[in-house]
Amino acid sequence: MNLPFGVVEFLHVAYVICAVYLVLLGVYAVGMLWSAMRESRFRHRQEDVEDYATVLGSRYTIPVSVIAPAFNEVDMAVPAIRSLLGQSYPEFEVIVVDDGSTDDTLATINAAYDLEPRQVFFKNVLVAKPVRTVYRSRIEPRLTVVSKENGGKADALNCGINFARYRYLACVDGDTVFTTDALLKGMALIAKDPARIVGAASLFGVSVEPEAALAAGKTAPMMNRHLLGDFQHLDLLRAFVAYRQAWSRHDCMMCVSGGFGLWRRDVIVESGGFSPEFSCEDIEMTFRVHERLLREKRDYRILSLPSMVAQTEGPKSIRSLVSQRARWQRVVLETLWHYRGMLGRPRYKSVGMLGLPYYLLFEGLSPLFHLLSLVALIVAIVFGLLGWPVYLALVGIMMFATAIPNTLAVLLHDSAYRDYRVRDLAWMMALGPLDLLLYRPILMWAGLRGTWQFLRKEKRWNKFERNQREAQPVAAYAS
Amino acid sequence: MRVLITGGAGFIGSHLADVCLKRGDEVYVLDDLSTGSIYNIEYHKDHPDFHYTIDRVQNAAVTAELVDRVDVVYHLAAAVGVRLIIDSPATTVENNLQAAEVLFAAAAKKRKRVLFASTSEVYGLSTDLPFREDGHLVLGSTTKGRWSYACAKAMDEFLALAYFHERRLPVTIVRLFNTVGPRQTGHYGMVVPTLVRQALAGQPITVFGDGTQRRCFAFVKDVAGALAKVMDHRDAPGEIYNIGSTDEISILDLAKRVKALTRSTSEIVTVPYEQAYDEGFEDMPRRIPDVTKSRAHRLPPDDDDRRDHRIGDPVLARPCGIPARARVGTPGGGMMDITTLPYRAEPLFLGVLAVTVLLWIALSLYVVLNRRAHDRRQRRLMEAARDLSDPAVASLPPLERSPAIRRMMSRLSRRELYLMVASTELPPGVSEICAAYATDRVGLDRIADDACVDAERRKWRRIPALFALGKLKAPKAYEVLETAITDPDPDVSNAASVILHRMGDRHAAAILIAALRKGSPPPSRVATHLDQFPLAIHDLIRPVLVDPQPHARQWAASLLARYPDVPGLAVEVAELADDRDPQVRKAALATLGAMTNPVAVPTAQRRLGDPVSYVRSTAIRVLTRHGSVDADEARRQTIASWIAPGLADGTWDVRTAAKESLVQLGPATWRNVAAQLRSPDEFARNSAAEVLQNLGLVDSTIKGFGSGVEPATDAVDAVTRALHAGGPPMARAAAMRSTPESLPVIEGLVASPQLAGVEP
Repeated sequence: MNLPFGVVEFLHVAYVICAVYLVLLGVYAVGMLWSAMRESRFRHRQEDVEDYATVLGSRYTIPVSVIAPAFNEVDMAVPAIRSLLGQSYPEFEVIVVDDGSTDDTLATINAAYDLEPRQVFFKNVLVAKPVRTVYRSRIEPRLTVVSKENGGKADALNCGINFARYRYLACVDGDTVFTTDALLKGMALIAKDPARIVGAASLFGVSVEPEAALAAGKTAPMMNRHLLGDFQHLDLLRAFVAYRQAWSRHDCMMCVSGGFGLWRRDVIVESGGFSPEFSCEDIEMTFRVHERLLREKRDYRILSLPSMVAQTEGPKSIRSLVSQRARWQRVVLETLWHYRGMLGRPRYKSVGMLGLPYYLLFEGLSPLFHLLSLVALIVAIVFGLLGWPVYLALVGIMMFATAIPNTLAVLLHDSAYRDYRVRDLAWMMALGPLDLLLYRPILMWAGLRGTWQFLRKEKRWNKFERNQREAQPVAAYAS
Repeated sequence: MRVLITGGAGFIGSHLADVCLKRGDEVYVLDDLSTGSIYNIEYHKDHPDFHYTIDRVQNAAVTAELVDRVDVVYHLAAAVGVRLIIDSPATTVENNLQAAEVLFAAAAKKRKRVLFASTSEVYGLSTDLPFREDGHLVLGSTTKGRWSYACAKAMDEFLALAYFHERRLPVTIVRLFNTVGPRQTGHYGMVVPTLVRQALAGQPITVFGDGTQRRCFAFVKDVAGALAKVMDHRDAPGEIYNIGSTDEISILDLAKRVKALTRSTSEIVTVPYEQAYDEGFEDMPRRIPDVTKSRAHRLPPDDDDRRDHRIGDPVLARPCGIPARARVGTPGGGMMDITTLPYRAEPLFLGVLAVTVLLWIALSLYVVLNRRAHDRRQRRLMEAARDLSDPAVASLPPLERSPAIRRMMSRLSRRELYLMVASTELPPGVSEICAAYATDRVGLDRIADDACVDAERRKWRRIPALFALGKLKAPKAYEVLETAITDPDPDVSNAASVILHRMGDRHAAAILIAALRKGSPPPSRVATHLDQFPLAIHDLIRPVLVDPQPHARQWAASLLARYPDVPGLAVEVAELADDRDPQVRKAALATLGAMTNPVAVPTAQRRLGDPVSYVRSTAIRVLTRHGSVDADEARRQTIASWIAPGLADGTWDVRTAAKESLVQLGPATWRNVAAQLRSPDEFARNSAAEVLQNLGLVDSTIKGFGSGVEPATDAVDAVTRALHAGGPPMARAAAMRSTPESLPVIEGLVASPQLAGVEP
């Protein structure tokens, strides 16, 4: 077989590019892990001496409005709301926004909470689709349910904010089940410095059946031995514990997750509310707040906490996972493009110099680098230029090298919280090296799809289908 | 000097070009790239003295043109390699003959000096070793294709010498023996590149025949040097020179040497000639040049050169330092550059892999073992704690009650020990032991020292020390905490607040209140603790009501809400309701709301007109609190009438407060609310409508229609206005709340004509 012109040159170039990329990634990972360790130790020490009991009993504790958009959440809505209303926090309200669900979501909530339709005049601060009916619960005065025309999650959040009466918001997903101290942990941090801290995020676990963990009466996270779900759980654990803590420390926390995000209301309202123009609203809002507050030279902080506050539902099948991650990739690219003005500008401090470059290189463009390495691999195999022993050794190195941040993240989390069972810890350790072989390819494929969708300017927000559950009697949730 | 090198893009030709350029000559290269490669000369493409033409020597016009321009012609262009001769015999012979004809003819016109590169192949089967230039050429049968090359080259030699004798063409002939070096391609059967390629790729190293045939290999740079030098001699024209090395090596030994130098794992296999070429292939067992003549002219390679170069060195990896690049032919006929590393790559990668795996294993084990150790400790603690409930054990002094616990604590660092002392989650017996142990091991003085240290890096020992000090109720504690609570570090000051709270005595409260006055740490934090203080401390808070700082007054006022029944307090607080600072006014009002003293009502009423919105809303709530517990309906109506105008307030928060208050005051007040339905202010009408809905008036009126009991006219009027003001959503909500029979009623009310005095 003839070696056409340029094959060797291409392979050399690809090799150099991928090597440089990996070295950069390694350097970055080591740096971030180091920062994460220090931040983790700091937060752990703070928690050791934190006095939650007083906060719980105080009438001065900052009240919070929890806003939970829900669309077709007939299975998850009631457990989620139950967990929200079961918070130990002294004063808060829960606003559930039913975003034009086409199934029995509203009926299920009604059955559980005896809703009564009421006209409520609300402050139309943020633009949102029209409200159809507002409900107040007869048995639970802190619950308000707003039924509106479908407009997407961002629109639903904006609508909920219009109804919020307190100064702080907790923007959550309608499919997340919370621990009883979620608000407490989050707000305890904010209460230390309410003038500066405008946003806070916290760790949450991923499970294919989140309500199962809570139905067992435990608040400890569990691994279900469902491979895909467990990989996602580990992925999120690593992201929160290792990277987001490090970003918090360096003031470039770029993503207050939509699963559980505490915001100060005035900042959101000044920014004009969440934007339905992007495939996900959480990361874009974070970028926007950073951009505006840095430009206005305000003193602010956005943080991420390591406490596990919730379990959310993760897709159970590969197809739905791909669809979800493709959407995330899409939104990363959309946001990066929209905020490209911040890249590398000293005026934007660590956000522009550290946060955005990270997102661009290691999130936005990473599918392309992966694709390059895959193509180079195929070319090398086809032309017989692949040295198999070296290549396999390289794959092995990468497997274990990516397992090490996983292990470190688990170590950091466990040394502070001691909440996983020991066998779950061992299971998570074992999954570490397999992550590269079994899980990463799915993410890479999803990333490519997302990039492709971005380039074609698609904006579908296809929520993944709810995982099928075995028929469970409703009585299991009765508290 | 200007030179033309035909075949200058080939193996030897390109090296010759290098030598000439280095020497300062202007070089012209003519090559058709049939066996040469543009890579060989690409380094020179930008050189001003270098020119190349891609064409065949047979193209007479081009050749003549180029020959014209130069002083010396090196004719190296030929079809080379035994493989090529076997595969395309006719083309080979024709090319070699025709090219030489054209070239000599062109050169002869202007009598340019020519060097013709012949080959040691011409010696053929001669066994007269070493081969001398004037020795016999012994060729094999014409049926053996191999000899056609030797013959063609011999013919070219004859032609050259013929031109020399007849046309005085100054031509020199050189017979090149085996040459090796960079840029040699194995494609045409050259032995060293082939062996190297096979070795590097891990393929079997093939040796033809039995490998005992011996050859002498010269380094190409020496050969190129020789070619350049030979033209300098005056008596070179008409002469034939052997150029080659006299170091012999068998092909089998060569293969072994290649294998060793490449550290290859390939096998050396012998391949019979019949398989490699065809039946009856003949090969010479030895071929050594007699280089007396070359040596006389000091042409390389000579003894000195031999010392510097080993066979095949530049092609194989050099033993130390710089990686070499090798150009080898590939099976497909292309060229491939291999960068040969000075060492094999596999051990390096395997080493890194081993390190990574070990690191991962170590970390993973650490995680699991660390956790198990922790769980074990907890279990032991719990077990030990259980033993403490035994009365026999309880009677012992604390330090002796549980050796197990004592052992555990002896392993802790000071910081961990303090945390354990301070912990609120330990079983009570254990806490006692902890406290005793800490006092015994560390001593109160040392703990106090740890609690006072100011360095940032000691902070996380300082704070647990503070906790321990507080828990142990050491006498120094108050002093230390007083300093700590005003520390600029928020973690330290917060911790101090918590500790003072837990200590729960009046001295601690006094310290907290002093900190409250000071304003550092943030008063809200301190107030949180004072608010839940285990003792009644109103007498300590009271004096703060007249503190010159507004924040102090504000928080003092707020905290006193906990003591609603203390005599005289309400009056003092009520005075603050007229304070010049709005936050103070608000706090005072809120506290009055918690108190039963009747002074609250007129004070709050006065404040309904306060310029600051949150004071107004607080005033509304205070009135509501008092009104809703008052049994007297007339008083409730009065209060409602005061609050109702709040529905028209310009601020959202005040309107909200008014709405909620009116609902709380009860349905009997609906008339006061309904009065607002006629207000010109849209907000007032909306709010009033909402309140009436929430009071249940709308529902009860509508139900009344259905039940047959005609509701009062003013109620109907109010409900109609309310439905108009509330708009379709209100009507819809009302409809959803009521029974299907009421629907026509609602619709009727909504559709009824506008009532006088109200604009829609």
